[in-house]
Parts: sequence; C-alpha cells; structure tokens
Amino acid sequence: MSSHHTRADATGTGTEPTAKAEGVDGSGDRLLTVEGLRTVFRTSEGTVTAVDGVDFHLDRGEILGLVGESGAGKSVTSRSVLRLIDSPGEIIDGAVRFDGRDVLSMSDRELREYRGKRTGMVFQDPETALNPTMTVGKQVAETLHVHGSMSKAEALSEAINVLERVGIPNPEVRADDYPHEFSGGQQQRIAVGIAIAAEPDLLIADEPTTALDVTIQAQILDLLLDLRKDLGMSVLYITHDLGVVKEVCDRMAVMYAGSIVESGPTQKVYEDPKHPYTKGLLASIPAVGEAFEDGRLDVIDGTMPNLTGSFEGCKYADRCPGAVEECLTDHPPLEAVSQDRDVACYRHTEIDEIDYEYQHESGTLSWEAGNGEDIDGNVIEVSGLKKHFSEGGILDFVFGTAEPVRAVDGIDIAIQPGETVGLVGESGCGKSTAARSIMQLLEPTDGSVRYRGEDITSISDAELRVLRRNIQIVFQNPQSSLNPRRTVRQTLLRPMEVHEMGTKAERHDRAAELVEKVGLDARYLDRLPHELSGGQQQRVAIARALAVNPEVIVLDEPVSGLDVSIQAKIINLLADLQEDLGLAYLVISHNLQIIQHVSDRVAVMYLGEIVETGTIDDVFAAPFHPYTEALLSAIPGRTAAEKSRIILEGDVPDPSNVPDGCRFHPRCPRAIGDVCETEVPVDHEADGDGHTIACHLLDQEYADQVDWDQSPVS
Amino acid sequence: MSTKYGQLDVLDDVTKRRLSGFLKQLRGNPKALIGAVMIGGLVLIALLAPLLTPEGAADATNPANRLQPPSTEHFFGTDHLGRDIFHRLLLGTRISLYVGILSVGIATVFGVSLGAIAGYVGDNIDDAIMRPMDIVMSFPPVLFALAITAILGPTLTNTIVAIGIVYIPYFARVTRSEVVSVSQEEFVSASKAVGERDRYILFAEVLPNAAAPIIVQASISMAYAILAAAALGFLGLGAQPPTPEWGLMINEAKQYITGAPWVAIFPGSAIAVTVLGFNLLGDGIRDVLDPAINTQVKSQDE
Repeated sequence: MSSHHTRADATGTGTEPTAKAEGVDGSGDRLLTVEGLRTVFRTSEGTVTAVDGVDFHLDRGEILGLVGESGAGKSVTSRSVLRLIDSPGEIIDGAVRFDGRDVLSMSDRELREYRGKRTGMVFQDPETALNPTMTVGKQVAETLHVHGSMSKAEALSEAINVLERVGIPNPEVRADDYPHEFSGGQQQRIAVGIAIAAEPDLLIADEPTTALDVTIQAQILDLLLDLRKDLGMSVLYITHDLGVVKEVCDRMAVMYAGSIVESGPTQKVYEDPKHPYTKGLLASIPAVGEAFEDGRLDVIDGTMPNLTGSFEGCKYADRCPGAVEECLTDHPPLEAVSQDRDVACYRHTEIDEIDYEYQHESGTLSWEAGNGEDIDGNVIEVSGLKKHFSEGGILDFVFGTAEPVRAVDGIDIAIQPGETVGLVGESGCGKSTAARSIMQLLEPTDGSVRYRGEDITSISDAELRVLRRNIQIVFQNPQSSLNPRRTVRQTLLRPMEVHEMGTKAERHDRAAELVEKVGLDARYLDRLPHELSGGQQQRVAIARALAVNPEVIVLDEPVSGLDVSIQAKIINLLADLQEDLGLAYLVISHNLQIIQHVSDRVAVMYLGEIVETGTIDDVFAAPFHPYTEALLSAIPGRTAAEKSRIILEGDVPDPSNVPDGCRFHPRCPRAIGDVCETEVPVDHEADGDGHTIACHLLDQEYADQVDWDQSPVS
Repeated sequence: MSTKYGQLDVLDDVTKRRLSGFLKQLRGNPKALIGAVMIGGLVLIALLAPLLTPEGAADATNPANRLQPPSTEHFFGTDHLGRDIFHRLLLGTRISLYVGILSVGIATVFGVSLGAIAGYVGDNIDDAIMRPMDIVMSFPPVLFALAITAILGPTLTNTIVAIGIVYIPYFARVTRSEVVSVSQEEFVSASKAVGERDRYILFAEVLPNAAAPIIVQASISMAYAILAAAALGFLGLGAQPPTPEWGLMINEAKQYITGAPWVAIFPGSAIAVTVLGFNLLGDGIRDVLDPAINTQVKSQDE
C-alpha cells in the first residue's frame, strides 16, 4: 500500500481541525487513529484482503459514519479496531491507536479492559446479540460487574439506571424480564444499554437499525444522539444507508472493496462528492421529494471486484465512467484535497465531468399480449379483503378464548392496466399477507378479488390455475424464491410448460429472450441459483414472472434485500419492463422513497387496514393521515427538514389485540381524545383525485384544530 | 445460442457437475471416506462370497472338527458343529446387507411419503399422520420388532418387514420437518403462483430439496436395522438355523463362549464393522450436505 505512509504523517500529527473539534487542540481530542490497516482472510480460494490499507481517525464526541455496500469491508474494519478477528482472518499490517495506546500490541488483559470498559459494540440483530436465557437486568449488570469495580448488587441496581437511560419504560420491573418479552426496538435499546453500561469512550454500532422499521429506527437514532450528548461518547457508525449517515454522522468515510475512497464532513460529502463512487451511490438512491426526468435512476454498472489476490490500479476503475489509463495501472492514494477532506481518486478535480448515465432501448417480447381486450376499468379490484389467522389449539377453540390474528382486515385496492400501485407500511402491518391473499396463495377469510371483473376467490381450483398466469409475483428474497436445484433455463421453461405455451423449441427461444430482457445473457441459462449474485437472482425471478405474459405483477419488497447500486438497477429494469410491456404492478414495500419513486398511486396500511390512499402527490402532501405524516417524517436524511421530526412512540401493536376506535390512536401524536379511542374513523374524501384518509381529523368539526405545517407535540 | 439444447443434455450436465462436486467433498471428508471404503468392501464381499466359499462349505458339519481355534485351515476357527466360521461370515454379509437395505427401503418408501404429506398439507392431516407415528415411536424399536415377528412368525422376511415398519416413523418425522421448512421457501409460493398442482410442487419442487437429511437418516438407519436384525436373530426370532446370519451365529455360540471365544468374537466383530461403516458414512454425508458447513462461493460478476 503506497497510501498509508503519506496518510500516517498527516494523521499522526493530529493537527487537522475537524468538524467537531473546533477550538480544541487536536492531539488531546483524538480518540482513535487507524493507519494502514490491512486485514486478510485466508480461505481455500486464496487470500481475501477484506481491509486494504484503511486510514481514518475519530475524535472525542464525534460520530463517524463508515458507509459502503455489502462486502466493502466495513464490519471487518470495525472488528479489527477491537481486534475481534478470528482465524482464518488476520490483521497483517497497520496501526490502531486508541487514546494514545497501541491496540494491536496490547496484552490479553489490557485488551479485555479495552474491549469491556473503553469500548462498546452494538450489532445489527438484537435478537441474536442478547442472551435469551438471562434477564436483561442481569445482562446489563454483568458488564458492570465484570469490567467495573461494582459488587453484584450494586451492578444490578445500576443496571436499572442504564435501562432507564436507554428508554425502557418501568425499568425496575422490566429488568427481571427476558429478551423475548421485549419488542425488536426495545431489544436494540437494551443491546445499546449493554454496550454503554460501562460508559465507554467509543461505541461501535454495526448497522444497528438495519433490521428495524423506519419509525423504530428513528427512535434508536434519536437515542444514540442523546447518549453522545450526555456521555460525550464517540461513535463509529457502520451502515449501508446513506440517509442514516446524513442524519446522525458528523463525518463520513466511504468504503469500497476494502479501501476508504473518500472521507470528510457529511454535509460537504453529500453536497459535493469528490469520488465517482460516492457520486454514483448518491445518485442511486431515490430521494423523497425529488423529481426524476425520465423516471429512471442513475446506476453504477458492474459489481464490486472479488477481493481475492492482489490488485493493480484503482479497484473502482472498471465500474467508473471516468476511468483513464492511469487508473488501471496505479492505485490512487487517499489524499487530503482540502483541510478536512480526503479522496482517493486521480480525477477528483474533474468529478463534475464524470457522469453516470442510464439508457434504455425500448423493446418488446415475442408472444406479447393475449390477455384479452383492453379494458377501461380496473384490472384488479380487491374489496373488503380479510385474512385472519386463528392461533391456539383445540382447547382455545372449545372455550372460545382464541382471538384471531387480524393480519388483513378489510382492505380495498384497485389497479388499472399499466399502473403501479404502492402498498406501504411497517413490518407486521399485514402488507405481505395482503399480497399473498390477493394472489390466492393464502385463502382469504372474507372479501373478493376480481381480475377483469371475475371473482377469483370463488372459482374452482382448475380455473384458478389457468387464471394464475395473468397475475405473477416476485418475492423479497431472491435466494429463497428460486429452486436451488434448477438451472435458470429450467426455472424459466417450467411456467410455460405448465400453461402449455408454444412448442418446445419456441419455449427455449423465449427463455433466451427473457434472460436478455432482464439484462442477463444466454450464458446464464445453465447456471444454478447459487452461482448468481443477489441482483442476478432477482432478475431471474422477474424473468420467471414474465415468462407467462402476465398482466399484473405483485412485487413483494422486490429490492429490500439488495445493495443500493443493485437496487437502482432493478428499479430501472421494472420501469423499463412496464413501459415496454404495459404491465400493472402492485409494489409492496416499507421503503417510502422507493414507493414514491415507482408508484402512481399508493395505499398506506396500518394494522391490517388501509388508512390513506390516493395518488403519490396527494398522499405525500398535506393533509395527511397522522401515520403517513409520521412515516414520512421518520425517513432518515430527508431533504425537507424544516419541520421537527415526529418520533412515534412504541411499536406496531399486536394484530391479535387491536385497539378500539381508531387503531392508530395509542401511537398517534395528533390524537384528539375520546373520539379517537371509541369511534372507528370512516374514509374521508380529501382534496385530490380519489384521495381518502381514515382519520377523525378530517371530520368537519375537528378540521380546524389541525395545522399540517406544524409538527404535532408528542 | 443454439436452440437445439435437448433438455436431457442440460440436465445431465448440471447433475454431473453437482455430483462431481459432491463426490469431491465426500473424498475430502475422512469419516465419509473410511465409511465408504468399509461399506464398499462389504458389498464386494457380499457379491463375491459364493465364489470365495467352496460349495456347501458353510453348512457342512463336521463334529470331529468342532470348536477348533483359528488356524491357517480355518481362519476364524470352527463352531460347535465343526462349520468354518470364516466362510459362514462371508455368506452372512450378504444377508446382513440384504436385511439393512430392504428394511430401510420399506421404511423410506412409507415414511417419506407419509411425512411429506403431513408436512406439506399440515393441519389435521398432519396430526392424523404424525400422532400415530409418535405412538409407534414410543415403543423401543427392538421390542416392537420382536412383537411383530412373534405375530408374523420367525423368518428372515418377517424380520425385514418388522424392522421396516418400526423405522417408518423415524423417516416420517425427518421428512416432515424438512418438508415443512422447505415449504416456507418462496420458490414454493412462486410455483403455486405459476399454477402448478400441489402434487407436482410436493414431489418435484419440495422433496428434492428435502432429500439431504433423508439420505443421512437412511445411511444411519441401515446400521440400526442390521443391529436389530442381529438382535432378533440372537433371540431366535429372525433367521432360522442353519442360515449363516450373524446374530443367529452369536446365539448359537453363547454356550461355548468361555471355552471357544472365537465363535462369538468374529460374528460380533462383523456386525460392529458393518454398523461402524454405515455410521461413519452417514456422519460424513451429513457433514458434506450440511449447508452451514458447506458454504458456496457466489459469482461476483453482475
């Protein structure tokens, strides 16, 4: 690594002022310095250089965001900082200095103290991070007892204070509960509590909100900011989510293929990215409130290179639209370009000329159409759809104590030909169950689903099987949605065989045509799913859905398992296919940015009911349903930030025990009292085309009580 | 792009690739390798036994020559009727493998079908199939097999049937749990959405993906079945004299065991070697098929 010597000099002196260290002498304020860190994993396929000469530093009280796509080496970097690298991994070079001490040469005892008292770590999945057999109070106390000088009894009482600090209500009582008795958001609060119990100087948070809902994520981010303020902690925040970085981080460092390619104050990097990769990443995320000229996102071609073996030149060169000869032969060092910004790119001064472009040549598939004549009305019409799951055994049934889980409780959705309808809500609100019930993969409890006027809930199995070819589905997890034992070709041929479409030769031709249509080529036909990347698997899943010429495709979280740059490509692909083939989509997602980008109309779902529906423009502007308002407000890094953030209290309630009156009232920041708790709100027509809101605030008598420009006081 | 690709060629290609990968991994697993060599040797012996043994040598009694210790003439000595134990063991290999394969075959066919239906359909059908299985499983296997042979009559065929019946619930249980988990996969919903029939989904989509633990179960059950057959033979309810069945041989040896230990030691060792071989092979296959250990390298290019 040529870069680390130059950087070592720059950081070693520690005189650079940083965003948070104004007016303080740099050397006393620097908590963590990482120089030329290299971590490798020796596998049977060769040595993987997961972290390749990484330099960064962190000041006291600062939050540094380490961003990048999966496989960029973010987590390995953070683990290397704690020396948590196990065989076959090894830190082979570099220095980690924490508060003036060399971490890499610490003895086991010093290391234990360093990990236990001076640092804390929070992981992505709180469910696996907590010990299920130990009460949460004991788990917090254990940290205090083992690493502090406290007795067990003192530690236990201190643990209650810690739980209170991380926002667990009624901590004296709840300290005796086990992890499973808490919701996901609370579990993550407890995990944060364990990490900060010993009041460490450094908190490493590895994707702490990725597994959480957007409203819960907002709570946790808020908590981290509070803790930083109260305890003066530094935070190394690892995430793939650029919105979160913008929300909480003072500085950010962008990682790509084991190296940091750009670092600097968050605001500056956002407004003026200097590295082409940063620029591409920022262009790939659909932002709420931003218009796209042609409805397509800018995308970065290709994928991250395999990190096995050694590299010549810039690792990003083959994906970079601005790569020149020099990029292919020499690795650009991370250089300071201004007082507080570093970039590893030879062409950073010409970044404005480096642009990502996305072009789509429209084309059609053979054997198109055949769904019948064009119709004026709705192609899919769902009315009063209910799906209840009864839980409990035969005894509950006999004694009548079993309360059904009302996953979907009377929803209406209409989809017109060629239109995209979005269905959005938190996890557990019933959106996936709704999708499966519409598809008749689950038998609805009540209500009807009409395809071109025909009620498909009441037709025979044989008729349904024939009809199914018109309505296809693409699932969230591409790995699970392809049969691991079938090649791409077999996967694509089968739907055509089932519906006896074409001759055998025609089917083979069409399989080849389909893979090309979704942006792969014919050599992928004979691959098995595990030989494909996540993005490629999702393309195959989309091709399978297209194989039978459907008229409607239900997309259940089609991109949430994918990296940002792949996400953008799949979104563009779906838009292209819609334009070329006139498909109608029902897109289900928890991600409002994506919903807004792809949908014409949107339905917001809460606890099995649709609370607001209308065109994108109507729903995403006042007047709102308070739940929609809160969801929009919870999007991290949203541009329109003139209003203060609404943080919803609590979690999504249990669908087997729905609140009386308006289902949202226990969490609603705009609740107006009795009427919300007792009366079920009706759908009110709001201004705009078919815009309805199920909220009492839209009643004439309450309408003047609400000011949509003002954030509610919660 | 040639469209002349026969589907069969493709299938063969893929299967070949998958199989060669699997075999390569098996070779790399010492347990599987040793197990396979042992089982391979036994199969070879079973096939070649009639050639290695002189006609009638195993059953030829020779009271003058009884209870001879091992010698160059009689490698493993002779039994109480003067029969050559080595030759009897060679012929017995065939019977043991026979019992193992057939009884496990019976258990697999019925157990897998019942378990697959229970797991795929669920609800009441699941209970209707699995609760009786639980009841059968609550009896000690050998005791239950003993009861069945006692009713059907003590012959080798009935032993095979009895052991097969006893092991049905084990296969049903393994298959059911695997089918339940594979049925949750989204590709199952996807094929339903395409309009596939349930029968096709269960047998062509779900079961092939549930096969790994069933194969492991079969391999390990083989060991137990041979052991159970030997036990039944020992108790006199399996094969009848003069069949050179290993369990029966130990039974006949039991009164001479102090004076002439070789009459019991060699048949006992034969059983032990066979059981060990199947166990090792089963363990090895499990290691290789376990997705947690067997990580696949993904392609990197998009």
